[in-house]
Amino acid sequence: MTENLLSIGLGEMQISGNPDVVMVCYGLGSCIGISFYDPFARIGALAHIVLPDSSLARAGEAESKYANTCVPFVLDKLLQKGAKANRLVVKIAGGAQVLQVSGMKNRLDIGNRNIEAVREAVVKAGLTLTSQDVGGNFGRTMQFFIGTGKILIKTVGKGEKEL
Amino acid sequence: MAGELDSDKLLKLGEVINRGLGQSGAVISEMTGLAMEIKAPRIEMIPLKEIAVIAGGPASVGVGLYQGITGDVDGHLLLFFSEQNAYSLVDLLLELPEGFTAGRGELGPMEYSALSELSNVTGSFFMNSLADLTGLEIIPSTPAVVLDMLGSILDNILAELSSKGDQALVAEAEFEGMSKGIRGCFLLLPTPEALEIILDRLGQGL
Repeated sequence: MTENLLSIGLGEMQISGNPDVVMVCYGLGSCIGISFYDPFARIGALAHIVLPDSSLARAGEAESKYANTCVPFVLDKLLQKGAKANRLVVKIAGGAQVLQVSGMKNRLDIGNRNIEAVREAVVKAGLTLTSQDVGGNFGRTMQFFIGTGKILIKTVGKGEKEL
Repeated sequence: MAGELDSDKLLKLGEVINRGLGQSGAVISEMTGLAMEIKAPRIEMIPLKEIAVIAGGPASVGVGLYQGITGDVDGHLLLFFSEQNAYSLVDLLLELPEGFTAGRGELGPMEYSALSELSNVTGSFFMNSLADLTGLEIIPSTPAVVLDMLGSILDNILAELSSKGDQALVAEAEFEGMSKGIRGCFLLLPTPEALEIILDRLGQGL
């Protein structure tokens, strides 16, 4: 195996057409991993979204950090690399609320807001969400195999599944 | 923001945090019957992306004991133990034979309740100490105890902090029970506003 493992941290994103590359978002809680894959061009991108809306963004922040700016930003990059929008398979995982604390619901319930914002951004960009594994109260690690487009979701105590 | 922190104030903050950690450590010792040593307390501004890394990496699986900080200041307090260390802690808290909980390989309601109590007591002691030394009203939230990947436990916290800055002040220390090799990581993450308020108080020569 000559896999190249690319870890996508908070607010980051990567694009690759290298079939040996495996991209990973480790331990997604309220954050959302969003994968885009063109199975014909065999180009994929994975982004690690932290917050729903960039209206409160500070100067110089990455577009990929916010749901509303991430989707059009990544789409644009993919099109530049030769992907076609109508072939893109888009999948999301995450948006959980791992810490459930009464009295702090508003401060900690970012997961649900992220899910809504990502869905909205995907529709707005003219794309369709192919599959999703979101919500709940547990973390997810999202692995994206560029060679095949396969997405694996790993959890603690709830097993592993293909998305 | 990192370079702008007044080193005198930071030193004072360090003393205050160490005092609180001492209280928390003493309480863990009392509850577990295990001498707890607080090792290598560090207080620094760290990029949010690196916070999970200093506590073992976002993929590391363990138990997080969380309490939110409210009142005059907002922030987060997290104690993180690896899965095996958390099992050992439960054995001590519930006076079970060594290795019993690890043998079961899971945490039931009783185990969660014991860890929740530990979180409540250590967090409250820490925050009381901080409140006493700063004159601020500091109210701990109810505790949350979860077994999951560190990254996912920290996510909500980091998302909140990341709407205010790219880095956060992190007070990090290790609790180590010498005889059993139990180690835990303690993270105090105030919001930038909270940090400013606390440093202001300390600057007034309290």
